[in-house]
This record gives sequence, structure tokens and C-alpha cells, in this order.
Amino acid sequence: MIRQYHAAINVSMTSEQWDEFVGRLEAIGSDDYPEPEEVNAAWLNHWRHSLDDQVVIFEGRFNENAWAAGRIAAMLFRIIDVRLQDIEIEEGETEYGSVITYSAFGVDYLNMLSYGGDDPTYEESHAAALQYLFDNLGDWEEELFL
Amino acid sequence: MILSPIRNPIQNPIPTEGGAVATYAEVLRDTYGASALYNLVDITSGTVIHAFINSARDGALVGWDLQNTAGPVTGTLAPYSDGVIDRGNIYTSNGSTGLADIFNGTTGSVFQFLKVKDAPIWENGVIGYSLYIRVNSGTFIFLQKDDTNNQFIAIYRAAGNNKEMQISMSDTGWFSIGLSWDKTAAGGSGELKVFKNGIQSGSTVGALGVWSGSPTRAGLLGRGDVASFPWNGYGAYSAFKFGSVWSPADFLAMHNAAATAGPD
Repeated sequence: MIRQYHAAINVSMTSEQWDEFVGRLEAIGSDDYPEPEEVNAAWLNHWRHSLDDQVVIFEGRFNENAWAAGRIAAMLFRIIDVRLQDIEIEEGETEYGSVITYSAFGVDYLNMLSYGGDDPTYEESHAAALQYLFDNLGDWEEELFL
Repeated sequence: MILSPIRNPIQNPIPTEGGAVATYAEVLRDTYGASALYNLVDITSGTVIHAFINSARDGALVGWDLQNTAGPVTGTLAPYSDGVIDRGNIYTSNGSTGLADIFNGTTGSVFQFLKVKDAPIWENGVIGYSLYIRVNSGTFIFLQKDDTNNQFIAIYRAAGNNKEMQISMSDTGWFSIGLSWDKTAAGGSGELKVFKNGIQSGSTVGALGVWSGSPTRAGLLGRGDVASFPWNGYGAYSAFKFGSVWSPADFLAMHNAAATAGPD
């Protein structure tokens, strides 16, 4: 099990596709903790949506393969109505961690960001997620006093 | 005016009838007459914030790392809120009525034990709510780490009349924050006082607005209903008194009692 922050970033999914996909991501880990009232709340998958709802940050204590590219592609292909083998995966790096872009037929649909890189400690992943948030506050925080 | 009983801190620990040492939560309830109390150090698992006095006011938490660090009372462990996603909601969550049905914006007090993750937090330029109680954009009480370096602020806004009180901060250990508001004091002008570690910080503020309405949001260590400006650090106790205020002596005694009370 690994405790880490991840982000899903919508590139070109429709709102219906995105909502369905995010719902699948929000279900990650639910089988690992069938009695959530008996575990540390920090272990449970929890999330935060950006103000425009195009980015969602997730945190929890997950199975090592829970966020593997193959699993994400398997969630994605039916939603965007392509075959699994049509999904292309391209890995990259950002200052916050590694990113994987999922595309099909030359169209980028999704970026998945793993904060802190491939095998970070919780502290490394947390620091990267916090920095991402600070660097993009306008995308995440409502105007005060609203 | 009925004054709360004031204990000399050296009288603690406070024995109960059976001879056992009273827990800190019991002291806040029984000695200082807390109307509502959220005792975060007793949450060992799950997502319910147990309301110590009345379970009908239970709240719900998201993501706190429970039992994470030594609390202000010996033998206790407090949760960590990550400053990214985590939050506590004490408004109509878990089917409860939260604080909304007893909250009194005209006369009341709040007392919190808090700790930030580390010293750089005080200079990260980002707001972090420790308490968020809001009726609407013109009426609310916020306690928050400010986006100004090394500053904690208490904001009381009623009918659009904004009062802010700043406290200089660089503390990395546990500290307590107290706030009392009383619109009926000073001939109706009102009195607002803020306390750090039981000592009043700055001058009493008057000319308060007239509070109207019940909270529509209430959060601990964050806004509550959504992850907005979450607290990056720890929280242990949040106690409220409604309909009357804790005196300066009460705030000091409550702060000092943490050093000698029994663990929860």
C-alpha cells in the first residue's frame, strides 16, 4: 500500500464523459476498506475538485497498482468509446511529479499526475500537491467571503 | 450577570466524584460550561467528528490523519489536516443538526487548541481556516491563519460590519485561541476580544454589527462543506459557549488546565 496524491486533468472529455470517469476514480480503493468506519480517514480515497471541475486531486492509501496506467486506460476506453488497444500512453515529467497523457487517434483526452513522482514518500507527494495548489490558487479557491 | 466558576490552575487536576482525574473535555464541559465541544483527540477511526456533549451535533471529517501527533493534553493524539483536501464539517452533516440550532452570534465564545505543521506554514502566504462559521457573505466568524506572514486573525462580521483582530504568530507548538463576542455589552455597542494562550491579544473591539440568522456553513480545520483554505496542521479541541461569554480568567484557566487534565 502506498499513500500518495494523484490528479486527474481533463483535456478533451465531454462533461458527461468526465463525470463518469471521475466517478470511477472516486471508487478506487473502496474494496480495500469495506468497513471505512474502522480505518484511519486519511487512508480512504478522498478528493477535491478545482473550481472549474476540470482537475480533481485524490489522496488515500492505495494498492500499489491502483493508479497504474493500464488500469486507468481500462477505465477510460469505454467512456470515450474506443477500443482498449486504441488508447495511447505517453509519459512525461512536471515539476510536481510524473504525468501520463492518454490519447486515442491523435486526440489527447486526459492527463494523470502522480504527485512526487513514481515512488514517493507520503511527505514528498504531499509537498508536491501542496506546491501545485499554491501555484494555482486561483483555480482552487473561491473569492473570500462568498 | 452570572459568572462561570474560575479555577485556580494549580488546583488541577480536577478529581471527579469517583476520584479519577477529569479529562480535559470533561473540564471544558463541567467546569467551564461549554455548550458544544468537538474533541478531536478521541477520534481513532472513521469519519465522524464526535460532539462530546450532544451526539446530535456530530460532524463529518474528510481525510484527517487521525491520532497523528501528541496533543496538548498528555496521553492524547491529535489529527492532522493536510492543507490540500482535508476538512471537518460541523453543519448538518451525518444527518445531525450540527451547530446551527444552538449557535448564538450575538453572545458567545469559542476556544480552540491548534498547531501548525511546521514553522514555514506561517510564511506560506495562504489562508488556513481553523474555524469557519458563516450565515452569509455579510455575517460570519472566521479564525484563520492569514495570508500575511506570521499572522493569525479573528474576523467577526455582522450585518456587513467587519471587525478583524490580528495576532502575531510563529508558534510551532500547541497554542490556544479564544474569541468572545457580546453585542449586549458596553451599552449595546458590543465587545469583541481575542485571546492567545489565555492572554488577551490587543484591545477590546466595540461597535459590533447586529448578528442575524443561523449558520449555513460551519467548519473545523477548513471551511467544512468543501475543501477551501484548509488548515495545514493539527487540531485538538474546539469548545463553544453560547448565550454568555467566557471571561479572560476563564480563557487563561482553560488554557492552563490542559497541562494537568487527564487524557481523553
